[in-house]
Amino acid sequence: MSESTTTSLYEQLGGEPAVDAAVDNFYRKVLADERVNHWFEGTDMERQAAKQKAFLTMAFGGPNNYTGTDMKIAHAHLVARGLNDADFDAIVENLGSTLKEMGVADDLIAQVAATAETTREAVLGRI
Amino acid sequence: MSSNTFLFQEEAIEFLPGESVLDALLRASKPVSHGCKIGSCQSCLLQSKGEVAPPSKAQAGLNANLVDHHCFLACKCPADAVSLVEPVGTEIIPRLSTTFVSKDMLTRDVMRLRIKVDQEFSYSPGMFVRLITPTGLTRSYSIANSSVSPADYLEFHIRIIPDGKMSTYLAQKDEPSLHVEGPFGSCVYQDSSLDRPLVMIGSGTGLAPLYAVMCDALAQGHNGPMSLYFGGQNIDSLYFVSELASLADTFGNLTITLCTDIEDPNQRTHTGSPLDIAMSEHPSFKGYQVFTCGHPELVKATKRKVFMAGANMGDIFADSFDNQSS
Repeated sequence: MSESTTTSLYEQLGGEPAVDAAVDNFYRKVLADERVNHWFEGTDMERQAAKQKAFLTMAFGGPNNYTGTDMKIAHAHLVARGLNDADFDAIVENLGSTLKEMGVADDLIAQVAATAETTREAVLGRI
Repeated sequence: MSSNTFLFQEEAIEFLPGESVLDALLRASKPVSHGCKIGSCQSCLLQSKGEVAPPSKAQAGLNANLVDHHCFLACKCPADAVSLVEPVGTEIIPRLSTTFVSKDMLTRDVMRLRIKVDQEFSYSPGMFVRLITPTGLTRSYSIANSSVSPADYLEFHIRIIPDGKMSTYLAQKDEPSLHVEGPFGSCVYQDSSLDRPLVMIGSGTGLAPLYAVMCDALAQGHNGPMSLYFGGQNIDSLYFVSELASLADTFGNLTITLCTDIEDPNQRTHTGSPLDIAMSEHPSFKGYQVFTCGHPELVKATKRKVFMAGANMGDIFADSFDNQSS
């Protein structure tokens, strides 16, 4: 990402306040989505929300320390239980509709989805 | 040091694969305080002095000060995640002596205990402290005082459990000798929200912090609608019924709904869970502040349901421990 010449995606989206605004709506959508909400059963809500915030920050192109290996390790126990591409698609879809409802422009939503997409292989343990 | 040990007070403690710090210490016959073993009562708080911070799952529910000092819950911490473990230093959490004031029964099995801290002690209504007996038995209890200023004592509502070590001590000892550590917790009224709807959902002695928060909100001039849903098995298991009714008479914006599992023959309560009744009366929780305390299953379900009904995560306040079993 070139920070000197253009405004970054993260800045265009509104930075951390935008992430904060999106986290609750996104997490609520995911918990209501019967395709994927079983993956979140029994988890501590505050900690799960903190993870959603880290994920959104990453997808927004914001500061994060995630490596592909972190992603792989963090999701390995879910992959072992069958987490697959359809689940990943559903999460990205929920992210897109969250941003749409917040009035984010389509081209920015596409960039967020593309950033999230870069984690697919790691999350699903294929690296 | 071999790979299957950690140091506790300079002694190597061996652990088994997959064992928690707490289980390893108990197996080594170390007299370490513990309670629920599910990471909620915070009785087994210890401090890691190793270089690596304890895993976040062992620090869930701890305040920033404790997290920064690498304190962790021994029951939730894999033994292989720490190398050097110590009791939490008094420089991090001061341990203060207290003087017994009084005790009396509020219901058949809920005791009101009042003690005076022997030095200056400040807190916000809704916070909790750890009570420690002379033998080191430790449990967390919410401060139940209805206001901070007039009382020079701390009040607690203690459920007496027949085989609960702490509650048995508190019930049987004429003048329990206790130290306090704290205060802890962020289940505190936000005075920036005077006109927003506020809902409180609780059961049993979970009323203690809810009552404290409610009185604090009213004292600060909360003028938005406030509703308390307070549940128990039957009318005799509920307490402060007349206090709550008189508050509702005084403050027009406050509604009290008593909820019981068993239908009350005199129609003094609604039949059902306080959460179900609250949900039926509030189709949306958007913009609400919600406080919940009591049975762990009720608290967990409340957090999830009100969030799904529109409450922001940051507007849902719950105590991160329970005393239903100690």
